Amino acid sequence: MSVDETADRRLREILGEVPLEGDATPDCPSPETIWDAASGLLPPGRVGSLGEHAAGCRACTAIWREATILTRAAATGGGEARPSRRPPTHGMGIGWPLLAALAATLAVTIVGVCLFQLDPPPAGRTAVQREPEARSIRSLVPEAAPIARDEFQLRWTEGVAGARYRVQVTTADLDLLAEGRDLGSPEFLVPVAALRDVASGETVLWQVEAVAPDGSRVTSPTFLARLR
Amino acid sequence: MVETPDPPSGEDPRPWDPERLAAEIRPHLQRTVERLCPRWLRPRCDDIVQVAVLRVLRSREKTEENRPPPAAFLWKVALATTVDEIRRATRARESSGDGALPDGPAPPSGEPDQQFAAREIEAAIRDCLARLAPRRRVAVWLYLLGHSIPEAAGLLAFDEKQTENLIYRGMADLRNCLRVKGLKP
Repeated sequence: MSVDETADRRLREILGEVPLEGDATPDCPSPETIWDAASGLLPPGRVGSLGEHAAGCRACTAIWREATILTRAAATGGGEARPSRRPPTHGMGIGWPLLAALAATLAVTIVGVCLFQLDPPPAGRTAVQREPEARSIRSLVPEAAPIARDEFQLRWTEGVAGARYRVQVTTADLDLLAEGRDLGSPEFLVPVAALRDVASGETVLWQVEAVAPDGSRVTSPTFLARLR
Repeated sequence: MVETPDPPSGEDPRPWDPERLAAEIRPHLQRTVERLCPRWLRPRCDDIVQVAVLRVLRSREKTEENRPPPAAFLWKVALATTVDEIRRATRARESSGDGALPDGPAPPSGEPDQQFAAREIEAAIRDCLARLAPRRRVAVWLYLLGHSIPEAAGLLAFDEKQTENLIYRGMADLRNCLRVKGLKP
């Protein structure tokens, strides 16, 4: 490890220890707004301006750090927020992207063994057992690409053969925008009217539940989709 | 991802049952609040959890949705509620004019010398960040908070190469600034 990498790690550790009780100012955004920014739910322009404030603010830095840790845990499938309080550390050298990927993999592993489930695990399965890949549901909608409101079609992998699907589309604050029930195919076109109050550039959340022919259910992670 | 052996209808047949939903979400909110709560605020953890539970219930009330919301939403509520209470308690302490109330912030644990050095470097980091050009400042700050280049690029809507350059040059500026201050992390 180079001197710079060691120094960078130390700097990160110091920011990783900034306490949540840092003094807030009247300019500080709400914790919910910081959460949305750290989660990529705000338009990039707002993230930039919010970051300019937060970079100089202890309170906002600490909230952003915690929001990042928690959203990462959630994005890995609903893990309990028990990873290190410090963000993953990695160097800036040639292997930086690889190290970042390894750090992310490690974080997934750590979170995986610390999982808690929002729904109680069924009998015979422990809380750390993951859904077999064959029964998982993945989004087929690229999160980075904005979608036109009149073509807001959500698609996902089948997950379970012969399943019927229920999909819920909500705002970032979980206000229900649209719901598809008893769908026979893994896709859902969100009605234009349902997106009437969602501004361009905003992100919506969506989640799928598959009901298998034997009655068992598979629930997807929460996916993101951005409105053009 | 979890499968539950419920009826195959795809719909939740249960009537709106906030008490049951509260019982389901409370342990998850409690764990998160307890992790986030500073030591001096721990006696109020149960109150914070209760407020968080009510916030979640209010969000589900409109649709009478019995299923727990996604983990991300629960944690967002837990974090926001905890921070709100920290700010409320801090304001109360300040307005009382007594900085040493029994339930006020306690000094952090650890060796005093180390605490002082870390606090000094933290303040210097903020000061040096403030001297960077805005785009570099935000990119470096995200990097220091553990965001990868692709993540930072995605959040700021920059391309990855541009973001890497901002971070690389910004970190060089930051290190120089800290050196000028006589600090070596």
